[in-house]
Amino acid sequence: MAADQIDTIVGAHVELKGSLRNQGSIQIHGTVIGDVVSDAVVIVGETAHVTGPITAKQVEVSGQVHGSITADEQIELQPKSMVKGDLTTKRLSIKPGAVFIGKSNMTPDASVGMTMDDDGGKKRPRLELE
Amino acid sequence: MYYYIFDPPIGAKEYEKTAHIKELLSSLGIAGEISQPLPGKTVDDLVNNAISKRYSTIVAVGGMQLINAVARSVEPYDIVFGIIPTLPHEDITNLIGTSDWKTAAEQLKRRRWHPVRLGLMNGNTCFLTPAHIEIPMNSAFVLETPEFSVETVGGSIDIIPLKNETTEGSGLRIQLSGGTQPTRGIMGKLFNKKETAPQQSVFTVPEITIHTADPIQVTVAGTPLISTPVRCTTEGKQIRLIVARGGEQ
Repeated sequence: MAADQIDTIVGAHVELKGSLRNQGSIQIHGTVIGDVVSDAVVIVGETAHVTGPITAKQVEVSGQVHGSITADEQIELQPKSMVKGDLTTKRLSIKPGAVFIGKSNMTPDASVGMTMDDDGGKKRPRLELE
Repeated sequence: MYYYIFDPPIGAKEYEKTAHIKELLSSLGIAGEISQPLPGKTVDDLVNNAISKRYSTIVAVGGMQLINAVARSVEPYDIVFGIIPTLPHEDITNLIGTSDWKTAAEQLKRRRWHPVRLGLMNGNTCFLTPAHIEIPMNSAFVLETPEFSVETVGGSIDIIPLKNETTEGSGLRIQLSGGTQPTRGIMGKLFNKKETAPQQSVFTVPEITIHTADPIQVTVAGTPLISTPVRCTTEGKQIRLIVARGGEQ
């Protein structure tokens, strides 16, 4: 996403406590302790640590999230992500290398894409479920 | 109709530019009363003089310091504010759509104005262009907003009054640059892998309070106005600023 389309950015060296709410997109690279709410996209970067629920239209995670994630449209867990909390969305994509500990709740018209890791001919899922 | 407040020229080149500007204003048919701040005659005095003479437009002709000073003075009054910048500056281009003095003078004739909010510091100091705070690299600071607080160490803060209502509401755009994370210990710094991540933070907030360990100057256009701690909001009233076509937001 182009930088000029992101309305709110939490830089890598910042620690934010409280409620981060924005009608536009939110990009997080630092530490957030509290809830994150957007009407658009929330991007959790590789260096980000979020402790608290995330609610948005779409959520893309490359860092760490301890808390639930609710997205109207899609949640995408990138290879280096670690999510500890429940996921609720219409479309869920979990890339190889992502670590997910929690429950996934799929809303109507849901679809799930899980890419399996190919390990010496044996394909194993790269996620853990409670 | 037009009351011009000029920066006192310094040096031959500035005298020449001032003369060219006056010539252009005459040729455009928008010549008016010309004044400049002097010892014993402040910007406030000049603006009061213009108001008493019922001028409908007051124009600041000069650098960022004069522009901000005139904006602060005209804010209480219901008049139109114009700018002719004598030095190019990105903040001016963002405000009026140009930082070229000839284009700015031509805009004055069209009188296309747009309401613009001023920022307000500690309830009594207005600013039109961004306020800036430079924080030493080893100094922690805290930003407080109605919804959240932010803590970091070192870097710089820019506080930009949003020109007008946006989808987010009126308010301030806050930009943090540089800095280091407050909780990182020496081991974290030695094995830091985070330097490739974006360092800048950007927020839009209705108000913000900035606390620093020691008082630090808050400057606008290079002029120190007050020191931290500082509470910034947007002034309720808007001023009518003449802008270029497309300069409105």
